[in-house]
Amino acid sequence: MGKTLAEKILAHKCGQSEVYPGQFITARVDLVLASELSGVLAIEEFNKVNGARIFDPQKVVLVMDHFTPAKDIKSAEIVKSCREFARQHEIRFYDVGRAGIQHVLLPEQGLVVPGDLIAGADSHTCTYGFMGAFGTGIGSTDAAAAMALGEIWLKVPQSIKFIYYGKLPKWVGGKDLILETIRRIGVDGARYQVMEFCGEVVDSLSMADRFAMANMAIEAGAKTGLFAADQVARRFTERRSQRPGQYWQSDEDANYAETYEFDVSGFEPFIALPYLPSNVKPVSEVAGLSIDQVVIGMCTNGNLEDLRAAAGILKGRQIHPNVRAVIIPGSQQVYLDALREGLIEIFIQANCSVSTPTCGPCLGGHMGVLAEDERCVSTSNRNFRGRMGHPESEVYLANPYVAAASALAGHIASPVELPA
Amino acid sequence: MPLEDRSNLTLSSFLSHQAQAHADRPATEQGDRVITYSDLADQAGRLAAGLQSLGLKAGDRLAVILPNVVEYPIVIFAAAQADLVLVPINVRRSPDEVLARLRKTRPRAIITFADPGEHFGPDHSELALAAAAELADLEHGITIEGPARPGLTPLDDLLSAKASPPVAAARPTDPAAIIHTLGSSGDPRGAVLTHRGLIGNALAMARRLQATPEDVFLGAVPFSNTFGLTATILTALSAGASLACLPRFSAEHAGELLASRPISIFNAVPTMYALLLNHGSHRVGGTPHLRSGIVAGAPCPPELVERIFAELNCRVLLAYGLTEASPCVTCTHIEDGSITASRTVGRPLPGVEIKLVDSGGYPIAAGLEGELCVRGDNVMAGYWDDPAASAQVLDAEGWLHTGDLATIDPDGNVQVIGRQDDVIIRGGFKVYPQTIEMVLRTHPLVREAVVVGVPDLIYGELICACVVLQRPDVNSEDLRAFAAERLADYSAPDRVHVFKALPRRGSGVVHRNYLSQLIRIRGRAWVFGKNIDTDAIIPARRCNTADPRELALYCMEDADPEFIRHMQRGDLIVADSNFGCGSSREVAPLAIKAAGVSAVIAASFARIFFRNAINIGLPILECPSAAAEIQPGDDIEVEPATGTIHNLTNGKTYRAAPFPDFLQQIIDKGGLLAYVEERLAETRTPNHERPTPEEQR
Repeated sequence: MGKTLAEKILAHKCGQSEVYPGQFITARVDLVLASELSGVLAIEEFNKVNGARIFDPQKVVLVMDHFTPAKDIKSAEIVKSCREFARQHEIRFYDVGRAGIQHVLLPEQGLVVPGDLIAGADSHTCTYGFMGAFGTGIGSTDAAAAMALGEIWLKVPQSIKFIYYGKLPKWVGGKDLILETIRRIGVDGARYQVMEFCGEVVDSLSMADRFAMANMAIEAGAKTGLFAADQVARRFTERRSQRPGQYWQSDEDANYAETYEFDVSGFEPFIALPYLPSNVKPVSEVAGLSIDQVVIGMCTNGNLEDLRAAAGILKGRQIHPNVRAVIIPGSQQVYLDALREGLIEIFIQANCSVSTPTCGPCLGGHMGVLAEDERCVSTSNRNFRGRMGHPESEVYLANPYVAAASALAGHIASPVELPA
Repeated sequence: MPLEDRSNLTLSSFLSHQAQAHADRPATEQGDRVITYSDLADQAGRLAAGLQSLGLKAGDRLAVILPNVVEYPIVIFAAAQADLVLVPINVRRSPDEVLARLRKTRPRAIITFADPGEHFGPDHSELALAAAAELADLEHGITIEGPARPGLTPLDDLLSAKASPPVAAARPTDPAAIIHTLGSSGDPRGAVLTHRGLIGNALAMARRLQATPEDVFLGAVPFSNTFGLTATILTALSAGASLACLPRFSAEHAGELLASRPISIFNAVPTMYALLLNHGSHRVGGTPHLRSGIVAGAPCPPELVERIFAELNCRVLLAYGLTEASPCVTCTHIEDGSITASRTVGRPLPGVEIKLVDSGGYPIAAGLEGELCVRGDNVMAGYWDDPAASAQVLDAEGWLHTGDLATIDPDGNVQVIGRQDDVIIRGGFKVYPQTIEMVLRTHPLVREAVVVGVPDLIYGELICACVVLQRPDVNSEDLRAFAAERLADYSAPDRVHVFKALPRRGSGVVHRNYLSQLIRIRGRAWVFGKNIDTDAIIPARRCNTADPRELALYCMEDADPEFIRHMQRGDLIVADSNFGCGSSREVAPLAIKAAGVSAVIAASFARIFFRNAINIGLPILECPSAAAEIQPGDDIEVEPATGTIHNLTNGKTYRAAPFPDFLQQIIDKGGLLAYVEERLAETRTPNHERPTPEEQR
């Protein structure tokens, strides 16, 4: 019996010739990751362990991204404790001005390569599947243990195969593919399973589109979401990292729990209505619903390609007077690239606010929290009740084209309807 | 002169005062036998003369091993009148335990009874004879019932002695009784209690109860301890009330007495009230006269107090005390509001000083938790013949260090939080794990034995022995029987669990708290559905804090607003599949663990929440059928070690998927950090140099 991509990565990381779904393994990790939010607890836990030392300072990363630049004294103190721990143990530390949102930042810095196993104390660690790395969210205690031992325990998950074929219409991207996928299987449709994305459409997707898909695998309950690293991923990796990746592929006769097929030719941009990422409809069905805010960027759609997409819509226009728009580049590098390309100027001239990279409003932290009865179109990944602010506010999840088009229209709008 | 104005009494002068004041009123009763105050004084005087006729002298000890019979008060006052020191011993103690107490106090006489053993364990007259053979000081055995036996004097013979009653010479500060309690290692220690301490305590309790000569007390708690001797016998008599003796408590008997006799005050451990309410007999015959009683001896759940108030129409008082304080230290008032009355043990008795100190012995700031210390006439003179043990608990300023942790609210009401050590309180009886462990370890097939208390709705705690065997040639039931033969019946383990290995802390010491969670968890179920996203809760609670610990306080409340307000320690969570997704990471498990939840029943082993729960040592049982069928509020009992889930509400038993060995290791060690510590130690220490767990201890 053949093996899936996920099984091959995990077998390699636990030093066995093969592993089986359901098997409990202890696997070596290539990177241990935490933000300030999860890091502060991980540090506390780490300090409780007698005689604990960081297993490899080069493989432990703290990224300050959730409440930074520190939004209040408490955040400042938490970041400070992470900073001091990082100095003491000489681990990799990304602070304000040198950082970005962790999942955008680490591949950009060349810290992740295909075939890696990444244990991150953040549920969206599944993102690294966009480049063929097995990333999975862990808890802070896990992170503390992984920092000391360089390994984590895992139950080998089953895999589900998602095949996308047909011709991808204009204005439809990775975000729409993952939204429609979650609509079809539900928010626990891939519970503790690996979502493996493949098919002719996938082969032609940009890394940013793949990023958005893998990023939201957790919203279907998945352990991780994986793309087999191809030539596109190889080029992406080799431009950023000296470290060679491992380019695993699933075997033809690998065993999958289920297979889903999608003909994307008839797709149009999708939007997830409150209060679940699976509550997905074509944008055309909800077009016209008035909005108060748009947020573009953050981790799910915070790559340069995503900002280009939004800027393409906004160029030479101004957003609706009743709407405010916040643009959040995924990292300092993305910000700089966008600046050099003139995208930031487009945003500012369109009356958008441009923020330093941060998770900020996605989790209702800062930089765009919603008031009661306010409605927001966001390119982020979660729209649970109260996620971005008041419990009576609403978040609609969409791609950057839709978000930008809605900002211009003052209501939910499809870019298809925009005047030329 | 009113009795309460006379603080310098001895037991003997106390009785003569009461016999004059209430001469023909009933003092004690049992069945058809009624003894008036003057009869009591008369019989006590005659027995005192009889005891002297045996050659007993002032300061000699008189051991008493009797159930709650009508003769008990006679013996107490006879001992006092003959200037003897009373040594009461519980009839339910095993022969070995009785002998240990006799060896320690070296009595010259023992008063017991010749019950065939059906109700009160061993034949105590046999025991007295056996003890007399072994103990040189023990010259006289006296029995109150049963056939005359060679070597034993019937009590009636002494009561019919012709000599005139002696006049007591003891002073108020002289020892009146030695009552045994257990030290931290489980060895018996005799607290020496003075006349003044006992009477002062009884008078104060009678005032808190607002007891009058019209009251009838039910004598159900053992007279051999201070709750029975001081807070029941002496308290009833100091009010001029009468005392109905109940030789051995059962809910049925107590219910009958409460219905048929005008009993107005029922002192009890919480278990007795719980049994009475659950038995339901009070609903048949009613408790027409019952109005109050002291509840003490073990922590009493507020719900039980509320049930007693509502169902029995009985305004019980919660009290805190200990043998070393004769016993009562604090007690609620009849007029207290319901919160104070059900959730505190009230304020100190008049003449009793209290304070809280930190681990260094320094007084702590108001509102903080500290060790409760007590000073006053009620505090013992010391432990009998054990100056070292006395010095451990009594300081130079006369403070008794109780070992109990407490807080004091701004109104001065005390809340007792727990013990500084591992004592188990089962049905009001203190049980010391070490005693039982020592017995179990004498079994040839037992390699390790650790005893822990687990929560129980009736007994407060049950005794669970966790053993590791040399060979699997003996079963749990045999081990239970083995221990039961060698221990007091209330200290025999309720359950024996066999483990392959016991969870240990990094230092190698067995992790008792975690072990008790593993064995058995019982509580109400809280059911949470899909997609409780703690991320969403940050702003929803207007708590967009960056501090995960602060967030933890809010996250479960948002999931169910009733949760934080109404949950009890030990409650369980039943979680659907996607419970706690998002950045719940540790937040959700930490929050529920901090709130006191002790286990989670989950539909599926999935999501970060579940692995986090395991990693912080919160057992999770994966059982889709239980998760689907359990309703909010169901009474659930789980045994993580066996994967068993009992739904006591719907009567069903479920089997959870067993944990893989791999995870069981982490769980057994009490969480991932202990496992990490051990792994790190392994990499540092070569195998042959690694100490065994025994050596580590």
